[in-house]
Amino acid sequence: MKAFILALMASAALIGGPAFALDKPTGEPVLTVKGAVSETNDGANAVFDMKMLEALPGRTAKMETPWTEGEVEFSGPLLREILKAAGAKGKTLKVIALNDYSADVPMEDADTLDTMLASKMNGTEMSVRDKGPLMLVYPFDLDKGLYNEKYFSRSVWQIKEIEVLP
Amino acid sequence: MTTGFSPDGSSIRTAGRRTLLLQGIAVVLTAILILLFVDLSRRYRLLEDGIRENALWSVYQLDRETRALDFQLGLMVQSNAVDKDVLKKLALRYNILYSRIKVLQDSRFESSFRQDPGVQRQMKQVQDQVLAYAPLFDRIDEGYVPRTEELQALLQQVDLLMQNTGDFLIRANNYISTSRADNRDMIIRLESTTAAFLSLLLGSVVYLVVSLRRQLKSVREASRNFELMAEEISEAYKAADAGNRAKSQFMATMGHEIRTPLNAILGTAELLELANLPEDSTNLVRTIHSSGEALLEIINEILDYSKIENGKMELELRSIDLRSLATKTAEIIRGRAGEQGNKLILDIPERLPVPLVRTDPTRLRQVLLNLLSNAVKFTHKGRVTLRLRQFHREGVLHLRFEVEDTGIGIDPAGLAKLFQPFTQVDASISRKYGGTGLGLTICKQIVEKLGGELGVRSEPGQGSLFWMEVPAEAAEMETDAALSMPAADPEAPLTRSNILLVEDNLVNQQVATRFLDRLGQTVTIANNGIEAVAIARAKPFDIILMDMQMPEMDGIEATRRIRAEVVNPAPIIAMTANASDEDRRRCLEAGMVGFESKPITLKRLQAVLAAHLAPARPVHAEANGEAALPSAETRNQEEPEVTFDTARRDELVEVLGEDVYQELVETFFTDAVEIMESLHKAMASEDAILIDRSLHTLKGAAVNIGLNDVADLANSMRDHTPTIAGIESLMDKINAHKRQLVA
Repeated sequence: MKAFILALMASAALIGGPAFALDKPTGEPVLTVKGAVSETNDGANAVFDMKMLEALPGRTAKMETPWTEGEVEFSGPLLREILKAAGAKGKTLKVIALNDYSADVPMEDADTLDTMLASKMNGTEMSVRDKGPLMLVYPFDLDKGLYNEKYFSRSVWQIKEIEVLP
Repeated sequence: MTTGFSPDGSSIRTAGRRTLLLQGIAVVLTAILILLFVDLSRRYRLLEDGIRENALWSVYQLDRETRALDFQLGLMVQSNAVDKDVLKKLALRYNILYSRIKVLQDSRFESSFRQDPGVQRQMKQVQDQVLAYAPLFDRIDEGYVPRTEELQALLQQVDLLMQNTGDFLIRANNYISTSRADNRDMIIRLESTTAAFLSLLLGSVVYLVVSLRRQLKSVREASRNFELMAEEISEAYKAADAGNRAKSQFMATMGHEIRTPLNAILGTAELLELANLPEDSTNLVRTIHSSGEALLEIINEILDYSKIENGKMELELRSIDLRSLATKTAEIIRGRAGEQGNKLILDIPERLPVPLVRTDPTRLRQVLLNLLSNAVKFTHKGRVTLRLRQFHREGVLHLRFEVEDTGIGIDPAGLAKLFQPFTQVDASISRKYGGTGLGLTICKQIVEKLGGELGVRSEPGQGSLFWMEVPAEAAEMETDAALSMPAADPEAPLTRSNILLVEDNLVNQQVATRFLDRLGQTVTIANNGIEAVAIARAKPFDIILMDMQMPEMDGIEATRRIRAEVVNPAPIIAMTANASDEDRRRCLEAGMVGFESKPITLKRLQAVLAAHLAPARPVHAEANGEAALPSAETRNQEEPEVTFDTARRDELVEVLGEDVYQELVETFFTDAVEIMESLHKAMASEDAILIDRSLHTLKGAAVNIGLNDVADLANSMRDHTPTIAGIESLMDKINAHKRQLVA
């Protein structure tokens, strides 16, 4: 039902009606997008709970990563959809993990690559013990050229925040 | 002639060996390159394998998260404030630590990191410790609030864990450093191997380039040498060819030059034999004659040999009657055989299977004559047999001639050099028997040219048997009218005919004139081709005897002109010392009907005339010269003063005899009439050239017999166009002489 309303709102936004601010998260917030964002719901930030994220267009893909055994299936919203929802405008994304590990990701990685914030591995939600709740997954299945240390270091897991830098 | 180099085959062979070596090197290099490539790609794959999670970083993170947990736990135990928020933070720290353990478990590290026993042991230890806290934290997640003692116990355990993770970090660092050093060593080794291979490759390439350059150089040198050599060879060939041609020319010239005087000697000797000389003089003359013939034979042999050596001998195949050829050839030699007391036997089957064959009769006769004359020469009071058989070999008709004698024979050493040029069986032979030593060489060459074989079987003291086998085709008899004589009786008396003798040599003129006079012919002489054409145009002749080589215009050209310009020209017969096949062909082409080799004999001349003169021709020549004279006489009332060179007459009489001189004189007057006739004609047609030539001929003829005043007058008239009166006075002078000289 909620999804239906969200979909209605999304279509209303597409039709060109007045832009609605981002809804308040109903569940436990999992991701905060701060910095240069225009669609906010928590002060200057855009906060998402898992339901909001799952409602965004995403992708499901099977691939190998250096941190998992064998081929695993990741699924979750596309990074660019999240940024769009947050109205992010910037050049660099600072992706911050629970343990305060952070990596700078250029905006192009979100725009040109099907980068997703995976919330599920092999169909189950990812716990903190298992690199959850969100993990930045590059499309290694689509582009073998991404399979190197440069993108490994950008592949942040246990993500809690994204700061959009101008 | 040579410049002293040798075509450098050895350097080319060396270059060839080097090329082989280079090919080997190229194969080895290729193999090495392939190995290098395989090795490189293997290393590259290893490098790709290295695209893994950083192990040291993971262990560090583990240690860090342990410390974070320891710190959080320590804070809680110290403050003793255990509330939900703090517990939640603690649980998060544990969960993160837990996730690090999982990462360590699942991640792909440097290939051998996890295989290291120390790493394995420590990882297991740390893992077991971290997982041991899981039940407690699971309960905390579910809302359980642990007691302070529990937390203190956990703190002690986490302190221990912290020590272990610290040790693990150090161990991992050591391991990574060692493996990095090992890797570096390996890379350095790889680099040096690559460098070695590269230098080997570079060296090979340099060697290849140098060798190729050297090879190119030697090939270039060799080709230059070959060019030089080719040039030298071609020059040498040109020189040799020029030398050879010069030699042939020399021989031909010498042959001609010798034959011309020899012609005169033989002719004169023949004339002398006919003169009534005392017995002993006749014998001397006969000796001159036979020696001259022997000399002629030798010259002919040398000319034949030079012709064969130059490959210029050509065959003239004609249909011949074999029996007649053998018989006639034997007849030629029979006289000589008799002189040596030899019996000449002809062994020819009654019926030859193929009586008529096609071959070169001249050459065949030459070989047979040579073999027969050798046999006769080396046999005394014995037998010489000429045998002829026919047989078929491989379906081809062959003629086998044998000349067998009972003479002195030849020893094996002599047989060995029998067919070599200029050799005779031994030096004493040449002293005793004479000869050039060319005869058998020529015979062998001729027989080989005919496609046959010439062989000999002989034993000293037992005689010799020379045999030849030549292939021949069966033939129908054809009438070879062009150059052979029709069957006319050569002995039959000839009718008197007008004969034009074209000959530049005075002695030959006289000899031929004498012969023709003796044969009852009327002779007009032309000194060269131009005169011959003029005279032939002025007057009809029955036959023209044409010398080939003359100044001004040669016989060939004269013949062409006569045949082109004279209506119904007389048959022209060539007389020449140049008896080559080529000459024969040229004569035929020019339109001559006969060909006689000089020196011509009286008998031969008679035969030629008999063949070409119609025997039933009415006698008209008698009136020709002499009837004209009285008319001239009646026109001259006053006898002009005449002078006469008696010295010349005496000289001629001394050389030729009174009779012959008288004949010469008579001939002059006969000719003079003709010359004057043509002079008159020339005056009428204002033909300046013919006028001059007639006067010139008259002058020459007059000087010849000593009529110097006639000669002088004729000569003086050549300076400007003569008048009719001048010619009349010339005629008067001639007639005056005639009255004095011809009784």
